[in-house]
Amino acid sequence: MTKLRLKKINPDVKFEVFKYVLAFVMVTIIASVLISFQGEEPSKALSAIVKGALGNSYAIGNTIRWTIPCILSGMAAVVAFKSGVMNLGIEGQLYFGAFAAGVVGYIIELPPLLHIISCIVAAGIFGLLYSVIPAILKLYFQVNEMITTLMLNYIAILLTELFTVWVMGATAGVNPDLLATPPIYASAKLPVLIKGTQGNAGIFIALAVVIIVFLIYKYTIKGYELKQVGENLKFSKVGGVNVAKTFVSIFLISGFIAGICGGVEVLGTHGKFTSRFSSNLGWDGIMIAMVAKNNPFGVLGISILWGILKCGSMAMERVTNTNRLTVSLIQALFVLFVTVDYKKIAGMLRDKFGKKKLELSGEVK
Amino acid sequence: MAEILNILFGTATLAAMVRLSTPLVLASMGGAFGNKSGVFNIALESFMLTSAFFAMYGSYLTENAMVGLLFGIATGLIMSVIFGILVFHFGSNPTVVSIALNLSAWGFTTLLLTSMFGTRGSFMDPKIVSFPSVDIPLLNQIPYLRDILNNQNVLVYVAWISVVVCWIIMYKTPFGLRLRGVGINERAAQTTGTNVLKYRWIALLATGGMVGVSGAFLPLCGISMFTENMSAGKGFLAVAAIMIGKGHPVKVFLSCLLFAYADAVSIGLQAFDVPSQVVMTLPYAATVLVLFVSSIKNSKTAAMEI
Repeated sequence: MTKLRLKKINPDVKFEVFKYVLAFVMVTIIASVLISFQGEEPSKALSAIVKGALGNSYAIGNTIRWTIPCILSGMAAVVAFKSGVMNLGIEGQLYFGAFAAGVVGYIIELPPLLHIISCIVAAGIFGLLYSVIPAILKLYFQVNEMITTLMLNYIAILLTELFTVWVMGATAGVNPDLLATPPIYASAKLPVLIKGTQGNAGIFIALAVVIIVFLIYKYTIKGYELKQVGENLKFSKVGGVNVAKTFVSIFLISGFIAGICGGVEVLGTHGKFTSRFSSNLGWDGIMIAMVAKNNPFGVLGISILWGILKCGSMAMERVTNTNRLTVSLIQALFVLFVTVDYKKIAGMLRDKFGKKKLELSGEVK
Repeated sequence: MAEILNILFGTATLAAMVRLSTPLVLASMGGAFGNKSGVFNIALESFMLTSAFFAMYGSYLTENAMVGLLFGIATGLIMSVIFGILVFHFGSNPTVVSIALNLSAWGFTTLLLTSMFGTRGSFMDPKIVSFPSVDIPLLNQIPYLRDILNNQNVLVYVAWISVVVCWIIMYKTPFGLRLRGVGINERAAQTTGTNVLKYRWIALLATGGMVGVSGAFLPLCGISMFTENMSAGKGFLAVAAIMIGKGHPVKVFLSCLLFAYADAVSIGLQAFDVPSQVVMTLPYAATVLVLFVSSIKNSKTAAMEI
């Protein structure tokens, strides 16, 4: 029995591994072409990435800094996608979370740990509240959540900027690039892990979120229900799951985690809320969730890769003539390659090949 | 009061509405074909942005707006071919492909902008030639309308004509009938001998071509420049318009006008003491609001069905 099962599982696992390796190889080839197109030796640029991300403790610290938001926004996406909720509004929820954390961080002084916790909770709640709108629109009015969340992203960026102007008061209106809330108190700052870098204790928050989500899905009935809604809606309905309630809670949890992501960014790295601070962090999370096939630990792995690429690409830009956008382009291509159904392609090729064989044998007869 | 009325109904606002609606109308007329054939495509944003870049490049190379347009259309077609191969033949999820394409388009165009022209942000050059505006003989006699409709860019009129053409193709030709059939019920269409894949491909290419035109409008509508992330959500607005109009060209067109009107009013409001951030949210907020209102009638039957 075990033998049979092993035989059944093994090819699948092998195939999955093969898929990622294939995607990685293809992406590396394309990256090399793009880099040489910019007049730089691919090997030099690639080694600059690795060195810039992992070369010394300073580099590793900054890689951790970029891994944190990747994990958190990736988890926000996983929670939603696992249950079939296409929450593309992580970017917007993240902005609201970041703003809330920034405000709680500067407005009151609290004992260190308590301050951090209250900032993070405020961030989560604001992210959650911002996801209420698309959740309700989808649930009661059948409005496609993809479009509403996309639109709400733009609105969130502008609204948080407006709130920042209000907070700043008279000093506002200098330069739209410099709009920021006052710096947060030291008690709200997440401790730095490696001195001189931006790698901070936010990584523990991120890891905690990964583990909690994993445990919820693995061991609780609620988690089973959440997953079922995504996998088989009718089955879960017949099975007595309150689909509407579950749907809303998925959206809210996703928004909550996205808010935390924004909060950790403010507490750990920036020290204040700056308008338009996020360089598509929410979208990174969405890509990561897709590459990781909605697996919490997969998110962890891909996030580390993403962190390395982000941190390394900045080093690459300093050392070589290569633009770091090359790397963001490569990341998107990686998503495309991983999500291709290679079995279908193989099947197509086999069909063609098989037909030829048949025709041939027909001729012989 | 007069000022507010002027912003709401003045010729300047309405003319701006007509101008701003053009990229939305062009893109959503193409997208309507995709929608009717049952292809879910939110990659219009990426089609639009890449087309905008190459349209600018074509115009820059030859100092001819027409070549720019052709470059734009070609780019739109190439993007749609990439989308089609991945979704129709390689079994990728259309949403995933769309998101990845949207993100790569932003990186790709900015990368090209920096590596080809050495600038970040925006690129302006006298060599980029825009389409001219047109003076229409009879229209320039009518008092109120001439201020709104006359002297607009050529592509503005192309967009309006495309609405009629799309409607005729979709509702008055056998091709349109089959196309809609494919979208409504794939199996049924198949049993009548319609090649589902062929129709989807045609619809997708129509989307790509039209979005290419819409992308070309962005840099060549008179401003003759390309800015980073120039489409700025217009592709998403077009998708929203298609959803609200359920792919019907006229309804889609009206939703586009509505979004463009919100945008135009927001431009007018900038002269007042309203914070610019509030003003700039108007088109997006309007989209959410219209989506909400247009679906209220669904709510009774559809609630809880998700």
